[in-house]
Amino acid sequence: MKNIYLIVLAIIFSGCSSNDEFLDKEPEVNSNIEITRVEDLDKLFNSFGMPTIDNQVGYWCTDNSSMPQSILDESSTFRQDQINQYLFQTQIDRDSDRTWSSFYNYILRANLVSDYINSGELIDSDNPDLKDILIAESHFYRAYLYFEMAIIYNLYPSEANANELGMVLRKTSSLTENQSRATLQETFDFILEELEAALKYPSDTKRSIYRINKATINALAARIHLYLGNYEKAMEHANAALAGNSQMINYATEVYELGFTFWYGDFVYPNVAQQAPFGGTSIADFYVDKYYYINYTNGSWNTSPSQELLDLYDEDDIRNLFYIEGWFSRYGATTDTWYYYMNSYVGYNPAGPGVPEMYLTRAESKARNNDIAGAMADVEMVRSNRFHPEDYVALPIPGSAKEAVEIIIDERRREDPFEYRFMDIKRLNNDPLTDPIILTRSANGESVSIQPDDRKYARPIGDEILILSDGATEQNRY
Amino acid sequence: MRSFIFLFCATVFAFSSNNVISQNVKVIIHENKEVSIDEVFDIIMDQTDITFIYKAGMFKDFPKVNLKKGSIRINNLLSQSLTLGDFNFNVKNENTIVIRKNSIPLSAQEFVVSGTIVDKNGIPIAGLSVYTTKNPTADNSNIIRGTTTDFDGKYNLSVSVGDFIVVTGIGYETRQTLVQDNKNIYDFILNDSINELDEVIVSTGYQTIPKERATGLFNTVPTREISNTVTQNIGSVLQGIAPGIQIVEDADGNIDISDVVIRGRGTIVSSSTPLVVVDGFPIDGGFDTINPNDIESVTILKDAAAASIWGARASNGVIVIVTKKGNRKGLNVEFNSFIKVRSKVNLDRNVTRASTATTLALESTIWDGPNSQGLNNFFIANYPPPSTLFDRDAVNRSGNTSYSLGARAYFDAFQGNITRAELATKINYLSGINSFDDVERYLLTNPISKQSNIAISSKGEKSNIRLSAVYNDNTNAFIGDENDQVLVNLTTQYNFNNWLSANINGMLDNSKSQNRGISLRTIQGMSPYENLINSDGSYASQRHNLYDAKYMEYFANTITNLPYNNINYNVLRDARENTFRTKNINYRINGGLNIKLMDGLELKPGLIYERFQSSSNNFWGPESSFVKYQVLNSTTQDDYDPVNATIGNSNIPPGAIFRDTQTERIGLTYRTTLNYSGSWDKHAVIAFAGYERASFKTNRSAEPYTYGFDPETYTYTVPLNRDSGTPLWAGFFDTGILNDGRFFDKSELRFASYFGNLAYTYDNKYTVSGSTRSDGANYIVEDKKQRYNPMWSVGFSWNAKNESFLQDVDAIRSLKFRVTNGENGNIVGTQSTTATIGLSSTPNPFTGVFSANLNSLGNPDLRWERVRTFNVGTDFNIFDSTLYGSVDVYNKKSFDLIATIDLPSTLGVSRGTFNVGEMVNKGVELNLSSNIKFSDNFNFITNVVYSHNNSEVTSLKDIQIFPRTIPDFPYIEGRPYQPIYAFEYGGLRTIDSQPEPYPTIVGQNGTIYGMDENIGQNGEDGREVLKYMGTRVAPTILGWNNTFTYKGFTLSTRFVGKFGHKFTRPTYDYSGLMQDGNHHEDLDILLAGGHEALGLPPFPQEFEQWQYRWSWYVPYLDSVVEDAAHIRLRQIYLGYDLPSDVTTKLGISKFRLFASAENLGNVWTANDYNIDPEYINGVVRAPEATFSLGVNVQF
Repeated sequence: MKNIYLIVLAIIFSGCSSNDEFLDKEPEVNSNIEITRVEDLDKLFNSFGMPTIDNQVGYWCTDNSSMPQSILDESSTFRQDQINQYLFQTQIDRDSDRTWSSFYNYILRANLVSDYINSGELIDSDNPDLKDILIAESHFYRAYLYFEMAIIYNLYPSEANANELGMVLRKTSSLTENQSRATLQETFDFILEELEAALKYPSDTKRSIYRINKATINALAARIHLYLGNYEKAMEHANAALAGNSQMINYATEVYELGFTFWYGDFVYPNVAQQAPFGGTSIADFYVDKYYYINYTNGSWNTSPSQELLDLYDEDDIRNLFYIEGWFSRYGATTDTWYYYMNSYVGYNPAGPGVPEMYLTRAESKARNNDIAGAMADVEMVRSNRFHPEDYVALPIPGSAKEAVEIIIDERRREDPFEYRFMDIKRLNNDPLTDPIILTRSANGESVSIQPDDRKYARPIGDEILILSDGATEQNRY
Repeated sequence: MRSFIFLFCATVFAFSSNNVISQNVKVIIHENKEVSIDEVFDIIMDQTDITFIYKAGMFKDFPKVNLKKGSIRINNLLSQSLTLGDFNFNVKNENTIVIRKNSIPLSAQEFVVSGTIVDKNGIPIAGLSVYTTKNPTADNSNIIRGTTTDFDGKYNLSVSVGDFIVVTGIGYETRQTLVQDNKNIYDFILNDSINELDEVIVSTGYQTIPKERATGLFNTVPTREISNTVTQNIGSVLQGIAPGIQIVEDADGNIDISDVVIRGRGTIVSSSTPLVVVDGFPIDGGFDTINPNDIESVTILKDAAAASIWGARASNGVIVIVTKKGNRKGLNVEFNSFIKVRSKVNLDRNVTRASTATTLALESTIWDGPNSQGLNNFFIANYPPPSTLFDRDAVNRSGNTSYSLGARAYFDAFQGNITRAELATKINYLSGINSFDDVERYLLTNPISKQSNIAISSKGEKSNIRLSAVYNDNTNAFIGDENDQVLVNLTTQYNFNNWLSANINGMLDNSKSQNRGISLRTIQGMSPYENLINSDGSYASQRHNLYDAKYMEYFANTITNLPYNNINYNVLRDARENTFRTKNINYRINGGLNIKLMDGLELKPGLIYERFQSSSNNFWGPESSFVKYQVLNSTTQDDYDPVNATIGNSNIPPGAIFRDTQTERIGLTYRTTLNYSGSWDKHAVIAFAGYERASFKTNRSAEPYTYGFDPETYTYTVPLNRDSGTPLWAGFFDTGILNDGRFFDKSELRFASYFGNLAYTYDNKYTVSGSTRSDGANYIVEDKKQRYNPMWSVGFSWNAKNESFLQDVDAIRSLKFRVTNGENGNIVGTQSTTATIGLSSTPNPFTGVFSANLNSLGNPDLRWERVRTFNVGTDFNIFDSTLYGSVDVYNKKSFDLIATIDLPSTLGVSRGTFNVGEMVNKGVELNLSSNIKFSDNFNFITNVVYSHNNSEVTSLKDIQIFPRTIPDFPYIEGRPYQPIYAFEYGGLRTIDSQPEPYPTIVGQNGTIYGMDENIGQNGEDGREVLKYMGTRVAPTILGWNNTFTYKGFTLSTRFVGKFGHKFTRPTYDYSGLMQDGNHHEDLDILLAGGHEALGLPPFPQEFEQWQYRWSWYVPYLDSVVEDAAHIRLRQIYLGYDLPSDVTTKLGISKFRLFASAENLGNVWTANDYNIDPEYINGVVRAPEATFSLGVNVQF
């Protein structure tokens, strides 16, 4: 009986041994893990791949698009939210704002990377530069994404608009961070700060095709400074970007008609229509002139150009191939089957800064600095790659800076019709040199005319974001 | 010395028939002890005003009596003490009893009789009192001469003609019979006593306590219901038997434990599965590893006091199962066997598709005229037959150009590819086909289930053992759908000495199942005029829902290097080619020690180890469509040569494809409890405390797909992965990158718990109880300080019957009131508290880098869910068991429920997981029985189980709900779980957008919407537009169970009614996909213009542009919401037990033949369409009526 009490005591005391230790065991071992290494964050950036962001504003709120009434009558291809954007309405019929949510999702992941590195708790990488690379890269994403969002949701950042509403500046990954909107001044100050920090990126090589290098950041800087009217800086960064990559794609040899009817009916397709964005390198393989790969999508297969845009092209321009004739017959249109703009996969557009954009940015900066011949040389760098040699004729040298800038803007429209036209309209409407751009359009019996200073150039934020923020995030005031 | 044991609970027994002593006077035994008869009298005289007069020393040679702590009625005490002797009793005055030794010698008229006493299962009962008594009406003196049965249930007794032989014992009804001339053998079969409401032992799984002293609610399933049900699954007994439990049984009789809900669902994303406790430990595997033949008792714990001791896992209720033990001396064998048969699946009842004639009538209109659907409808892509591979797009528009046989014929005629005469021939041929003929012939089987069970048990001086083995063998409704199971259970107990005993139990389950991928859905997906086999014996070409058969045919005929002769689609061939097998090997061992430290104090360490291994093998035969289409599609478009009509080499070789997956679950729980039980004066205490550690590991893995497998030679081919190029037919068995299929996953959940429980009873009347428990886990809570989840309960019960003012009220046999309150936690799934990423296992083939996806941002503030249950109840038995049962009212409030809610996407995520939800389940439960004894031979027990539960989601962060999605929301604030929202049909009205009257919807916000609109595009919330119509879950469940016993016959019936809920009747959906040959049977009525009777819009005879939008609304119209109330006749059971004199001669102790009919359908449904709301036609396969026949033998 004596021994039994020892056993009993042992049993009882074994229950008092450290349960904390027992419970510290990780509950799961699978591919779902906590972030513990700097390398994990590197992989997190790899997972960005080629981001795809729904951007109805970029597609519809410019003079490059149109919604022919006969197609509206005969088909339902244009969604209500697209019509709302087209008409610059301030109430958009949509269940959620996918533009806002996609941008902020990438911002969250960039913030997560900087939060984890700043926590100092991660296991270091063998690569001593990796932390600096990741930090600079996260600054790049914030600069890029906030800038692109500010174009969509904010007014032009003129002095007069300094105290207008800017973006909600999420700087950390915390779910409890303030969701009220900064002023426009604060927003652009932040974008420029982030840009400066990103420019410290230590390497000229990309960690993979979809990642960034110094040239990428310079290309972004050129775009941002062009928007802000800092033409000298824009040129400086465009030069730096071109120093990193100035490879142009020669459409005369690279772009041609497909020899067979492709996926979506009896249409004539350019070979670029095969560039699917799903995980493949095909877009990157083809568009080697991009500093950064990001897609804008309109969510539908209905990117419909305006007659004004179609008229901008010379009939020999190879880029005409990107306009698929008769496309809207797919949707039941019979009166006017119209055109469809297809640059890669249906509904998608590679929208990151590229070499042609840098040439045209530099051209514009030169033109505004009265280096008209230099400007036109840059324009011809683009044009000479857009015609078959037998069709190519250089443009005459214009007589004035204004004329030169107008030619450059037209070339920008031809080259990247749905990527930064909305940005260009907003900046040009604040530019004393060029003529104001007044957009007029009508659909389903409603006609609108958008003046250069129209507050509707700051497009509305999705209602659900305002509601779910419990009032913290405000709508634009119209 | 042989002494017999008194339990503190004993039978109700009038000491003599004229109630010398009131039945209900009790004495309290303060501790377990062994006393002499003299001491028994002392105890009675101490505690009552009864005086005994007898000669000193009269009982000195009598065996001592073992008394257990607790209370005992004195008539029981006396009868058990004195029945061994031969006494003359004389009541002198009210309370004085004179006891004399019977001086009358054994007279000549007396003779010795003998007999065997068995329980209703034929098992001999030891230790029963058997005595004779004279006709009690003669005078108030009486003679008692008694004995007890031995371990074989046998007795000998001297009697005279005219005496009564009375048999009485613990837990059995008293039986008596008149001694007759010339009859020497008197056998008895004793029924379980159901009159002992206040003397039942209840089990919380951890401990057993007298129900009299329990504060919690214990619903015990009557053992007769278990033994009178023919089933392989114990879960099927519980429906309609235990109040407040919802169980779903599928057509093959399977019950998924995670679908079992007790007292309403009280959680949003977490599990609502009740905890199943077998012999003291929670087990894995639901009911599947429990042999129904092994079950001694089932108790359902629902309120805080009963369940809280199980802590975090108890908030969904606890089902406590105690298995049979070897408790009979010698070798005992029990054999059970039954066979169940049912008819083939009733296709007319289960498949809701339009007839051949109706389908063809519809299809004849598709391309008929300029306004026809075919020429205008975007959903019927109007492409001519393919002429190159690249025209595949024309034949795959999400299946829009995949035509049924009928639609194809009309389309070909419209295109001019066949003549009108050819069309007529084809249609004529099709119109003579009913696909059910081939389905019935080739795909269905006659289901049959068999069970054989054998149990061997034995009891020795120090040990007992029971071993059972059951074999279940089932053939299910579809060809090749079979499963079987061998389940072996062992329970042993060994008493080393008077302070140490041990028990070890083991379970081994070896089961396997296979099917061939056929289900009701397969048949539902067939056109009504499809054959499976052509008249020449070949496999018929059937419509595939993506690629048109005509294209397949064209492709097969054109391409010259195709590896297959035939690439048409046929479900029968697929079924014959494919086999999907699952094998389970599960075992469980639990054991424990019972160390008696001192009187009343026991230490009980124990552990349970479980290992469940399941492996699945999916095998697709070389001729299956799965294999063929993958093989063909693993070549690329780039390699297609239209000139020579060749395709490139397939990366996947022809031959079978198979893949294995494994799951292993290992559970280990270690627990020690210290139990105390004691009483002194009027105080009684039961207490225990303990701690527990548990870990549950799960390992899952899958092997890579094996391609090109040859089952004859066991050879296979590793395919080359294609790294670029578009597959031949994009979007169709897309093999853009070959799926390797491998995955690995491991989890280990750990829990550590401390718990304690104390119940104090004063004077057998008032009990207060309290319990507390703290559970910690290695997940859920990030902050270690918050890791433990405190849970508690308090309870109070008042045993009113033991009050002096009720003690002598014989109409009330027992009466008790209970109230409990407490808080439990709920186990939650692993929710991450920090950001987690998923690492890619291979570098991206295109970028060459590894990536990590952000899987979850995590929420560091996550904590346990909590459930607070308040319960008030009463247990009673009045008018001598004419009415007995319990009534309970409860309020179960669940809060801190984890829910995934919408977040402003500014945060970077649009959904997040937080402890934000609250739900309330309020209800009342009645369990009422009546035992009516028509005669000694004829007994009737009727039992009504009623439960009513109102659930409400009381808090869930409100979100904008898009109107069309609201029917899919199971949780909406302010509504019960599973609300039904419906669009109110407004009939045809003139609206602005349409020239003719148009189908409309009346919004609850007052707006009239046309069905041509996308309701919600203007930001309306679903709750403004749709009408709330009730809930899908029955608030009221009524079970009615009757058991008649007449001589050896037992007849039992079970009805279950459900009331107060709604269901949505499936109907024709107007989707505009008219070419797929698959329409709801309501089309028959619609084409005949009967839409108004159905409450639906008229069938559009011509192309209607917005018809596809009608299909957004029609399935959710208020006119298709029906009352789901129904009453089901679940079973009729008939058993016949051979009389014991026959069985004795046969050398067996019991022989029962039984027959049963189950799934007899509804005796009443509230809806007018004769739809069974639990097995909605075309949605859930209904069980066919089942007939069983079986035998139970014990020896």
